[in-house]
Order: sequence, then C-alpha cells, then structure tokens
Amino acid sequence: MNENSSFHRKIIYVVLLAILLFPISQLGSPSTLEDDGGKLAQLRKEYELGQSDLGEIDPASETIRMATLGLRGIAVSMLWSKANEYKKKEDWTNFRATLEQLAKLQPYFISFWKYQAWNLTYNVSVELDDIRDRFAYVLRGINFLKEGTKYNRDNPHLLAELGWFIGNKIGRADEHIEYRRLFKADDDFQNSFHDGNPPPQEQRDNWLVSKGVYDESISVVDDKKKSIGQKNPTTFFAAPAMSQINYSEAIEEDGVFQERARAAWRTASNLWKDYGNREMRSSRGTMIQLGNLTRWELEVAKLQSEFDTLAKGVRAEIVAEKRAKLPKDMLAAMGVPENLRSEQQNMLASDGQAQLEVTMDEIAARVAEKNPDKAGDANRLANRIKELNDRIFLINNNRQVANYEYWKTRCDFEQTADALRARELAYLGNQAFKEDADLLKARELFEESFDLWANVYEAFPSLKDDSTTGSDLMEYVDDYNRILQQLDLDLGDEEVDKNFPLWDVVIASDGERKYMEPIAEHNRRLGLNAEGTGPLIETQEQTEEPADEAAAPQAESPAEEAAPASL
Amino acid sequence: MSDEIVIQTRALGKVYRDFWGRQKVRALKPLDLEIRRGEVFGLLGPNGSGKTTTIKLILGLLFPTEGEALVFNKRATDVSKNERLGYLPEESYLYRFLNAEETLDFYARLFDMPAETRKKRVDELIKMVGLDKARKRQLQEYSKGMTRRIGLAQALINDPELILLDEPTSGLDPIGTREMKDMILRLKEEGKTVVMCSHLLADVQDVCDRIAILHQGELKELGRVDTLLTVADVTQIRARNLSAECQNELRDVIARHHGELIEMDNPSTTLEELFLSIVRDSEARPGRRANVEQSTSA
Amino acid sequence: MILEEEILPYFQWLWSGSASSIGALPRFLLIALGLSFLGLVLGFFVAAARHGFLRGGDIVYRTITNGVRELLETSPRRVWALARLAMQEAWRRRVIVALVVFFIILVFASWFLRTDHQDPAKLYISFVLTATTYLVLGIALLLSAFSLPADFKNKTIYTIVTKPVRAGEIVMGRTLGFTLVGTILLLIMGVCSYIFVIRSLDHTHEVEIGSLKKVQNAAGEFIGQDGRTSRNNYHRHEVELNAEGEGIALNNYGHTHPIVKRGDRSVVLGAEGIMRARVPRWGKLTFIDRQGVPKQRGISVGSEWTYRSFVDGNTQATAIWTFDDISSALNYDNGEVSGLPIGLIVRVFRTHKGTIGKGITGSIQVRNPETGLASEVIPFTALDAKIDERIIPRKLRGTDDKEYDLYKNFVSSNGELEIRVQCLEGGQYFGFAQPDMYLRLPDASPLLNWIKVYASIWVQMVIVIAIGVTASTLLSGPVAMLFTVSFIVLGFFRPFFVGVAMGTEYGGGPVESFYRLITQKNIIVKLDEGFTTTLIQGVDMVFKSLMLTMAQVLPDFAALSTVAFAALGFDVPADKVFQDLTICLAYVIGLSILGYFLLRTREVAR
Repeated sequence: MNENSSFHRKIIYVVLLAILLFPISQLGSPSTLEDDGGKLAQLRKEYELGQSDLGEIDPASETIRMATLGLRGIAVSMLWSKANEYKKKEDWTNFRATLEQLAKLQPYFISFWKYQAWNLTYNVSVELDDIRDRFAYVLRGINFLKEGTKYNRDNPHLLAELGWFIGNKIGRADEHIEYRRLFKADDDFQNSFHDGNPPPQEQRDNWLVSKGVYDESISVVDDKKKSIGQKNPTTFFAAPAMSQINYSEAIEEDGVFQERARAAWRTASNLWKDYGNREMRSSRGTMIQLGNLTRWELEVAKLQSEFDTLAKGVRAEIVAEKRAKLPKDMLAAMGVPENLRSEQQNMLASDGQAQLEVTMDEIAARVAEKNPDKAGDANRLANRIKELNDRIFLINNNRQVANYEYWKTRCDFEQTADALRARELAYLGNQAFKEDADLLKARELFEESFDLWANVYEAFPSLKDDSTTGSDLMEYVDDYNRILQQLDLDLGDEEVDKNFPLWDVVIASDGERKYMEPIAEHNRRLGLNAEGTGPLIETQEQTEEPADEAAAPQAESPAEEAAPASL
Repeated sequence: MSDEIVIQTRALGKVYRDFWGRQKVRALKPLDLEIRRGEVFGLLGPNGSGKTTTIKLILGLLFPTEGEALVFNKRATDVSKNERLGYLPEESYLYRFLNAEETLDFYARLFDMPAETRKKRVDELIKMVGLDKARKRQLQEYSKGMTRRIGLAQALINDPELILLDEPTSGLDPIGTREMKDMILRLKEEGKTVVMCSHLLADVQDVCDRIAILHQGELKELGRVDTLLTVADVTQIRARNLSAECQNELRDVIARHHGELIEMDNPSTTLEELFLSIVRDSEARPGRRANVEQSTSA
Repeated sequence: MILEEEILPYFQWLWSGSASSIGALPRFLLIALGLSFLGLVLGFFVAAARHGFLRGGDIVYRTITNGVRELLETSPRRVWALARLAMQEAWRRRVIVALVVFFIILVFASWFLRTDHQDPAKLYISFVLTATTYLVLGIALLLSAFSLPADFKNKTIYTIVTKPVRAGEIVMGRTLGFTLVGTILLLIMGVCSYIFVIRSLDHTHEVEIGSLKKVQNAAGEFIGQDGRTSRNNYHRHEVELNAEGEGIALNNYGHTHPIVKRGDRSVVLGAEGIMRARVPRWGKLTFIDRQGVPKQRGISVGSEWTYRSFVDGNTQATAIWTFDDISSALNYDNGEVSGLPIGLIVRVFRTHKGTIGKGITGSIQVRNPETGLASEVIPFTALDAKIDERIIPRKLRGTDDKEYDLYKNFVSSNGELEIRVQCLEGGQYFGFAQPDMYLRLPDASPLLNWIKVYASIWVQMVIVIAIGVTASTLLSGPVAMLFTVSFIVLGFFRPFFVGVAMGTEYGGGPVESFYRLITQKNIIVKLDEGFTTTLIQGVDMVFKSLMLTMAQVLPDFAALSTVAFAALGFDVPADKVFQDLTICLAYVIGLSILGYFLLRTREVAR
C-alpha cells in the first residue's frame, strides 16, 4: 500500500517534470540559420544581448570567467579592491595588470572601462614626473578604452569617451603642446590604434583622430540605431564639430595659418552648420534643430498678429476684469512706483501682477464665448503659438548649452583674411618678442594685428557682446602689455592709447581688473567721468556676467571631468 | 604485584558521554581482572557487552572514566608498554596502499628496530603467516583471510609477550579459523600471554584457559573453562542393549546401588548453553553476578 | 624597492628587536609561556570537571611529565617511518595533479599576461611566484588537513598508537613527510618557472637602418650613429652605435641589449638586465625640516599612503641617510669613474607645473657626522619612479673648496657616512622612505635570488602544513581544512585583522560592523548612543581582545613573502631568509608540541 503510493508519487513527479520541460524547450530553443529559435533566442536577438552582438568574443575572457566557477562576483570585488590598493601604493605595473584581469572578467561592463581608463589617463598619468611617462599613461588609458570598444562594439558611450580622451586629455592638458607633438610622432601608437593603417602625417593630429572617433560614435547612433541613453544629444552631436574647431585653434597655436587654417575653419564652419541642421530629440521629446530658430520666431510673430486681430481687445477686457477682483491693498501696492515700494508692497505687487497674467487659452475661451464661429480658429492659433513658443524655448535653451551662436560666429570670422592675418601677426609678434627679443618689431606686429582685429569687430558687430572672443583677445593684449612694459610704456600712455583700437574690448573683458588704471586714464582722456566711476561700475557688471558665459561652451567638460576623478 | 600478572584492572569503568558531557552509555561497569603470564584469556560476550571497550582501555585507546588498567605494571596510557605487546584489531586496519613487506617494515620501524633485524623479522613473519607469494602485492588486493594474516603478522612484529586479539577468527573460513586457533596455541606454548575477545564461543572453548563473560558492561562469569563447564549435581548414565525389565531393574539397581554402569560421569554442558543461561539470568535479574554454576540444566 | 617594515640584522631581530618591538625569541617565549599557561588551566578545568579536583590534577600532572619525557624519547627512525608513510600517502593521493595544474597555469599564463607593460619582468615574476605560492599552499592544506582524520576514520591509527609511537612523532612525521613532498614539488616548479620567465621575456630586435643618423663630434668627425630598433614585444629601444657599428640599445622596459657587428650588419643580442638581484645596503633615514630642526619624518603631502614623507624644495629641509661600516672596500672603480655607488629613488611631488618637460633638480651632499665636514653639493635631476644608479665620486671638494677623499675625510672614525639630499626648487617636494637610498653592492646572482624566494615560499608551505597537521589531530578533515584556511586567509590579511582588533580600522569590531552592515550605516557614521550601542561595543571588546590574542600566533604570510624582491629586481637579504627560517622553525616546534598534547589527550578510539 505504502510502497504503491510512493511509486505513484514518483510517477506524478516525473510527469510534472516532463510537462515543465516542454515550455522550456519551446522558449529556449536556440536559433539556427533557417529558424529564429524560441522566444528567448528572439528576445536576445531583439535586444542584442547575445555575446556576438555585443562585440568581440575573447577565448581568454571566456576561459577565466568559466574558471571562476560562478564566483565571478567575488573575484571581481577582490580585484577591484586590489586595484585600489595598488593605486594607493603607486604600483602602476600591477595596477594595470589587475585592470586587464578585471577586463577579462567583466568585459561588458561599460562603466568599468570608462572609470578605469579615466583612472589611467587622468589620475595615474599625473602621478608620474617625466613627461614621456605621463604621456605613456595617457596612451595606456586610451588603449585600454579602445580595448573596451572592441569588446563592446558600437557602444556610443565608449566611443564618445574615447574621442574625449584623445581630444581633450591630449589637447587640453597643461602639457598639451608636448602631448600633441608626442602623439603625432608615436608611429607605434598610430599604427596599432588604426589597426595597421596609420593615417598620413597631417591627419595624425589628436583633434582630428578624436573627430574621427566622434564621427564613428554618431554613425553608430544614426546607422545602427543605438541609443545614447541619458546623454544630452545637444552635446553628443556637437562633438565632431567641436573637435574640428579645436583642431583649427590648435594648429594656429602651433603657427599654421593662411590657407591651411582657413580650410580648417571652413570645415569647422560647415560641420557646425550641419550640426545646426540636425534634428535632435529635446528634453521634452520633440525634435528640434538648433539652426532653425528664426523661422519659428517669424512664424510665431505672424500667428500672434493673426490671433490679435481675431481677438481684438479681448486681452484688455480680461485684464480689466481681473483687476477689478484684486484686493485693495494689492492694487494700492501696485500703484506705488517700483523703486519706492516697501518689501511687503513689493510682494503684494508682484503677486497682483501674476494674477493679472492672461493666457492664450483664456483669451481663446473668451473669444469662443463671444463668437462661437471663431472658436475653432482661436483655439487652433492659441495652441499653435503655445507649441511654437515651447519649441523656441527649447531651441534657445539648447543653443545656450552648446554655445551655438558663439561658435557659429567664431567659425565665420576666423575664416576671414583679417582674422587669419591678425592671429598670424600676433603669433609672429610673440615669436619676435620671445625668441628674437626684438621688442620694437614685436610691438609693431601686435599693433598691426590689433588694427586688423578692429576690422574684424566692425565686420562682425555681434562680437561686441561676446565675451569669449573678448577674453581670447585679452591674451594678446596681455602679451602686448608685457612688451610695452619692457619698453617702459603702459597701455594708458597717450602715445599708446591713441593707436590702440580695442579699448571697448579691454573695458568689457578686463575681468581680473588688470587694466583699471589705463582704462581710467583712457576715460579721462575721452573726457568721460574723470574718476571713471560711472562707466567703471557698468563695465564691472558687464564683465562679471560674461565671465560665467565664457565657461559655458565647456560647461559639460569640467562637470564630467570632476565626476570620475573624485570617485 | 608480582611479575606474573601481566594485566590488571582495578575497578576499571567507562562511560561514554556526548558532546555536552552528559552520560550516554555505560559501556563498562567497574571491572577487576588479573591476567597471568602464559595464559590464554578469553573475553566473551554478545555484541555491545563491553569486551572491545575493555581491550581498548587496556591498550590505552580509550581513557577510563574510573579505575585504572595496568599492563606490565604500567598505566595503560603509557606508550612504553607497547614495546612488549602486540594487537590485532577487529578488522585489520592497515594502509591499503602498502604491500605486505612495506607494511611489516613500517611497523618494525615503529619499534625502532635496526635495519638488519627488521629485514629478518619481516621475512620470518611473512613466511610464518604464509604470505610469501603475495609479499609484493598491495594490501588492497588481499582477500579477507590474507588481510587477517598480515594483521596478525604486524601484531607479532616485535615478538611480543602479550598479544591482544580482537575477534581473531571473525570473517575467516573454517580452515582459517583452525589455523588461527593453532597459532594461538602455539603462542601459548611459546610462553606468551594471549588475551582475546570473541563472540564465537567455539573458538574460546577450544583455546582459552580462562574466560570472562561480559554482558551489558558487567562481568557475569570468570573462571577456568573446564570448571565453568562442569555440572556438579547431575549424573549422566549412558547404556546400551537394555530390555524393559532390565531398565526397570536398573532403576531398582540404581536405587540400591547395583547394576552395570557403562558410564557414570559429571556431564559437561556446552559453553553455548552456559552462555545463554547467563544472558537469560542477567536479563531477568540485572545487576547481579551470575548464579548458574551448579544448578543450571538445559 | 618598497619595504614597509625595516629588515633588522638577524641577531638584533632575534634578541632585542626594533625600537617599537621586542626580539623574536623573547616574543616566542612569552607567547609559548602564555599558551602553556592557558593550556594548563584549560586542561585542568576539563580534567577536574570529569574526574574531580584531585584526580584531575593528577592527570594533568602526569600528562605534562609524560609529555616532557616522551618528547625526549622521540626516535628519528620512527619519525622517518611516519614521514615516509605520509609521502607514500601523498603520492597515492595524486599530489602529482598539482604539477599538472601548475603546467596548465604556465601554458595559459600568456593569455593573461602581456609584455606591453613598462616593466614586464616585474609582472611575470610576481605572477609566476604568486601562482606558485597559492598552489603550494593549497596542496599543503589539502595534504595536511585530511591525512590524520583519514587515519582516524579508517582506524589505521589503532595499529599505530598501539606501537611504541609517541604522539609527537606522529605529528612530526606527518609534517616532515608532507614538507618533503612539498619540497620536491617546489623544486620542480622553481626550475620550470625560472625557465618560463626567462623564455617568455627573452627577445631581440633589429636595428632599423632607416632610422640611423650620423653623429659628429665638435670637430666634425664621424663618431657613430643614433637610431632605433624595430618594435618587438611591444617596445623598441633607442640605439647608440660607435663608428664601427657596435653599441647598445638603451634602457627601455627595464633592460638593454648589446649590439655587435656581424659581417657588415649590426646585430642586436638578447636582453640584458631583465632579471636582476641588486644588493642594497640600507642606512637610517632622518630628516631636517624647513626651519632646520631635526625630525624623524618629513612632511606629508596628503597622500593616503604614508610610506614616504617629503622635504620641501629650496628650504633647509633635508633627507639624511646615515650609513655605517663604510670603507674604501665599497669603492667602485672602472677606470673612468671611481667612487661610492648608490641607488636613489625620488618621489617627486609638484605643487606647480614647473617647467613642463623638465625634471626637478635636487642636490646630494656627503658629510662626516663626526667632524661635520661636508662636501660641495652634487646636483641631479630627479628621475621619478625609476632607480637612479649613480656614483658619488671618490675625490670630492669640501665646502671650503679643498679636495678630499671620500673614505678618508667624510667617513667618521666609526665608519659612518651621511648622505644628504635636498630639493632645490621652491614649491616642489621630494618624497623619501628609508629604503629609497642604498649603497649598491655588486649584483648577486638572479638564480640564487630565485632560490631564496622559493625558500620563502617553502617557509610558508611548512607553516601551513604544521598548522594543518596540528589542527587535524583534534578536528575532522573538513573542519581542520576550514580552520587552516581561515588561518591562511587571516594570515594574509594580518595587518587588517590586527587593525580591527586594535580599533584602528574604521567600522568597529565584528559585531559592530555586522550591525552597520544590516542597518546600512557606513563605516564612518557614529552609532546612536544607547543601550544597543553599549551592548554591541561591549561584546566587541571581548571579541577584539580575543582577536588580539589570536593575532599573536597568526603567521603574517604577506610579510613572509619575498616575491616583491624578485619582482623588483632586488636580492633577498640573508637576514630576511634566516629570519623566515627561524619563524618557520618556531612554528613547527610550537605546533608540534601543541599537536602532541592534542593527540595525546585525545581518545583515539572515539
């Protein structure tokens, strides 16, 4: 009896097992060439979770992961802490070796590659004293990241990071002049980085290589439909153009001008325009183009006037109604002139002002009330205007993020003969000063350069409000001033003052107040307020604001730079 | 204590305790024994009666809870007593990856024998236990009987004065059993003291001079085998070709002390009967020394 | 070479110890005394609980006296017999598998080791030696922990303990046997790994003909060529050739290559200096701070690792090494230069960029500590993260501009010499630890050094075996193994363990850190005052004192390892080798005695 029931029980178990196995075999069947396979295989394909979809399959990595016998997590934790220990004890060889072991254990963990490559390139490299050792670690970090992109093919994040390292670490470090030179000269690196097809010498500039990598990261998004995740598209898609701009700047710093510089700027300008025309998803999900602001502004103006004619006088009517409903003290407060209001009055007044606001919807509703036949039109217009204002707001916002306007103008004016020549002259002036110690010639060259800059300012009036170019030029003014000092002269001296065409720039951009005295003297000479107090206060206000803006184009960079380094 | 006494136990007792020190089993109740030089002493009892415990206490493999055991006048826990004794455990616990020669050589080394003596002794013993042909074979290839023999050989490696055998015939075929018994008798002839424990009564009966019967950790009987098996109050008569009258007559004759007596004798009971009666008695009246000597009949 | 603990001379280490510790022997005796007392008390309590006070005392007394007697009766023949048995057993348990694993590791090592590191020898050597260590310790563990328990389980121990075998002999025999097996394995591994390292790192280059440029001297004569080699093993070298086409491939990736002329071609030969065994003689380091006040340490630049301390540039701050036993016997003379060879490691810390691409300059000065006579300063440029092997010239000018002899005038009558290093650039810092300057004696043989490192692995192995065997006298196989494993693991992390016990690690004792773990508090945040906290910390106090006691007997495996010496190309000092061997001996003796009593007081037949 007993034996019998246990036998039955076993039979039931076996049957249950068989039943359970059936769905597994259906769901889990592997895909073949002809067949898509079970649900799991399809899902894996759909989300590209298969290892072969992720990137290179490395037998060494597979082996070591198998060899941990399911203790990979523990092994990884131990190695991470070991890596930290090695870093603390400045044992860079073992640090790197540990990173390589980790890479084998967790090759598809994106943050690992980003974080540890950062460690090598930014944190380890600065611990060394010899510049070639430093540069070697910069390259090691870059190579490490490159390795990561092999395991994780078509990952826009890693590619963008790689572009950043090659561009900004090499091109923006204090040692960037040496780094850029070493980068170009490193045949072995160029060879291995480009998988055996090193580009010709002039294409080996770090900014151009960086641009190439950025291009790749964008093509991955465009062609292979990879997501950029939480990354801001405005900064992500600007990267190649920015690299080109940086390239143009960098070659001018190296002393390359004229046609080559012009061509570089032209390319930059074109890239920037392309960037402006790119449709990018905004934070609210709508697609926007940064270069397409005016069109929407015009359309809004047109629609607004249409709407106004449709609802003539309605706004005033509503305002009057609302005003009638406001409490007395509030009205009284609003009656007081702004600069005489007490704090409480101020609060009341602004509160009242807010209550008097009339939205398009309210007007449209009123119009509908009055003329039901116009209701449709009014609503449509109101909605459209609201929508467009939203769009304009987003475009403006993102233009600020990318500093779109500035770079656009910059690319344009840098191509002009005046600007190119002006920069060249300043470069030559510096050379004459530093290398030949020919003060008079240097001064002459600088003055020539400033005259040309004045022409540029005339040709591009919008530069006047642009602090970045201003502070850019201030570097030249500083150089010039140094030469003047050697000649026992000062910017404020009459003889200098009279020929100096860039006073506006100096006044607007003297953030550090280095030229307070010359400016005062200049003002006196112009017969302005002798103390210069009035204008000075104004300039002060101006300078402080632009100082913030100046940082804007790289607003994303310090933030990104700070984050991993502080981990 | 005289030199004649090889093993002496004084109120030797053993209680097994669990991890917390709580009493679990009382394996041996206080036991007093004296085993003299040159005798073959048998410890007899059913499984779990405490005979192996007694042997282990004598060897120092277990520590007594009370009392003490002396071997050659030394405490059982004293290692130096081992110089003069040999022990054959219940199963032959030997290293199965060694061959016969290596095994004996190894044990000989443990007696700190110099190389020459060792070699001679090993050779002798291998021949004695009849494993000459299998001397190079690993023990894991041995049959039960061969293992038993090599076990005996290792017990004799030091030519001991005292030999303790735990179930010496267990697992042996009749011939093997006979050989083992002969070996024990030979050892006795050589003047050695043998202590064996067994639950196979026939073995004990055949070879032992004295036996102790243990049951549930208690000594139930102790004495010479022949004395123990004599039934004093019974007369046994065996006769042949008696007619009915004759038988009647015989009764009369016997009544009147006449007639032809073919055999008039004190019959012996078998050890088995003695043993079973002790066990029955012990179970009926636990805690008392057996009282079956004179009055028991089958 | 990074030496966080100074290596004391052997006898000083043995008797008196350093300033902050006592000698090894007194320490051993103290611990032994403490442990014996503890064992005595514990043994008495157990015996008394079983048998009453009088009998218990008697048992303890007899156990001790017997123990002493039996230890003296130990017979080498019996120990050897048991050792042989242990070896046979090990062989039968397929210890050879360990070698197979070792070869597999070597074969596949190249998958995970790349030679594109700036110091491939360091990586290869430390990998191979570390792998060997772990492997051998693992084998030692498995062999030792399971052997005796298996004997108990199979009851083969019955036939052993009924022979006149002393318990101590069983422990020693096992230890000896497994040690011999391990030694054979280590020998094989040592030879194979040495060949492996040499073979893996050996390579050669070719001179890139296209890169060669003619070099002329001031007079315009052709004196040779400069160029570079081909890229092999992820690196290339700069090449300097003389007019005949012979020369050297300059140091890169830690080695050089000689170049010779064969026919009309310059041929690069095999690498030189991949494996080295520098023999340093270290001195004592003290500091002078920026105001000129003597200090034990320099200043901190805020690095988490406090190994080095710093001197600030262009101030009075100085690092002073004092070397003793200096004589002209140490002089190095190759005809061109003559003087005292030193090695110097400078860790540069910049607070400003300085001149980009240019090293920070410093100065070296020798001084007679007795007479105060100082030499003129010898300027140098700091090589960060590299060893600057230089020679202090024998003929030196003093600050008074007279010429002096280094050994005659700057060495004091008791043989002492001061070498002072300063940083010359304001706002920049030099960091030093005591081993950062040393006198360079002639290099020792790398092969011999390799053997010394294997000796230190051997020491670790023997300690593990001794622990395993001792643990297995009392515990069953798996438990003994876990016990030994925890010993090894704690031994490798001994500094941390001690830190927790002393309360210097963040996060508190075991209970507190567990509490923090489950309540997800980080290790810094203060626990709320109250009963729970008091309770937790009270329990931790007990735990911590237990841990501290345990730490006294915990072997510091990390400190026993000398892998770093070989990896960094330094000779393992003889003092260190003898110290390690002594420590090993102490463990074996101590554990054998412990094992004896554990086995002796154990009922074999339970």
